[in-house]
Amino acid sequence: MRIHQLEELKTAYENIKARKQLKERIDKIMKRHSVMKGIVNAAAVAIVVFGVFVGALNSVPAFAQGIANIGGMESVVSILTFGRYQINDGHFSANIVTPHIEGLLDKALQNKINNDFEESADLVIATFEKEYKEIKEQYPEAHMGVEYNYQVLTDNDDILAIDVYLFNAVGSSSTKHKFYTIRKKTGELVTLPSLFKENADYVGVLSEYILSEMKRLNAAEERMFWVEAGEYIEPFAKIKSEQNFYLNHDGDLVISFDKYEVAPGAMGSPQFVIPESIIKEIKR
Amino acid sequence: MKKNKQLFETFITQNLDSAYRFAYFYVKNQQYAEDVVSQSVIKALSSLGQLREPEFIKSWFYRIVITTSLTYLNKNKKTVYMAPDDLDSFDNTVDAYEDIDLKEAIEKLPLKYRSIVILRYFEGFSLKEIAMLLSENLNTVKTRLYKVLKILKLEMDVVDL
Repeated sequence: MRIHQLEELKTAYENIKARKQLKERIDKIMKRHSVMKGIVNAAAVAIVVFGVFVGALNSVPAFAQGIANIGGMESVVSILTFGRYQINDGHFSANIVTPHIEGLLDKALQNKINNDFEESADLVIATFEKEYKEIKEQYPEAHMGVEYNYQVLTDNDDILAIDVYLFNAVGSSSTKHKFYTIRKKTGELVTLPSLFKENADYVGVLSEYILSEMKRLNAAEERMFWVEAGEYIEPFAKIKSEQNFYLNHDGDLVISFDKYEVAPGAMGSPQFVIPESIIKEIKR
Repeated sequence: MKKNKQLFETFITQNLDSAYRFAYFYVKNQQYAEDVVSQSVIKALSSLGQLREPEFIKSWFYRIVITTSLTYLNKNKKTVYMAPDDLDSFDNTVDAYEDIDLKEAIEKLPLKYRSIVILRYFEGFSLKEIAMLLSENLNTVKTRLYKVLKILKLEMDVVDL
């Protein structure tokens, strides 16, 4: 008899339907997401292009340093804002800033970085403008926001580290970061592999430490890093060889992950400061 | 990635009602349920890259709905649920359940037991899938289901486990 009741309940449950309003809301979310995706991809392309360049430069480190070491030249490395593009009509907002770096001894590198900043910003602006009109016509009540900007992470006698980020908000938000660390004295752009001895397994050493930290934080502070294997979520296994990083004020290495890369979005963009003791054996 | 996007769009279009009723079951309020579904869709869109096996899209999305619902409930503690602890207090009152109807009995269950009933009998997930969805191990889920069936006076030999 109870089984019969269970069947009835199941039928009642299945008769619950979503309102038309919810369907429309979901349609809008889907539509807006496609647009923002376009903007993010545009910026991602620019970042990838830059990545290739850094790779090429690294293969000839003598070249980069050779220029930087010309005697008698003082390096005054600084970052400033070059261009700014702003729109805010209450529903749609964009704040796109073009960073500009100065004072590197390697002028070719400096130009290359600045060109990339400009190209990325232009691409974000162009994509935003194109999609902005379309969405505004179709969904005047929609909200979207995009910000391409930078912040200084470290600025002391030795190091300038900046975070160039693309933030987009469509209901929830996502942020993509690209860090640049520059040694002021040599004017060189620091890459992650360049911090370690040749052939050192820095990916393994750093990954092992970060994984243990994730587990510790999950247990101690109820954080939600993805460390367990599941059918649906790829658990964190190791960092990328060119993982986002910077050097902080004390010169410590900080490894960073994008939102959704290793944990749910609520945890933002997690960062791990690597203690000196972990890497002293393999540090260059 | 792009394939996942299309797959997800189709999935949502076809399963919006079921996602909504599932969220409704958790948060028990039309507006909350609509918010939860919207937020879940946004989260899902941002993490489509983590969907490795397209055939698991339903479980994958339901898992997002469950975590979103729980977060939502924590934030808006307007609905009072029974402490999600043990059913110990329930065991003593089992007799009192004989006459109430099944619907009421299910609704009185603590969330973690109630969700198993819904996932198993209304949504048709396997016990293994439920364990994954609720981040519990399989034996815990089995134990809870047995306990719940006993309380609901559902005969186990009749109900297909």
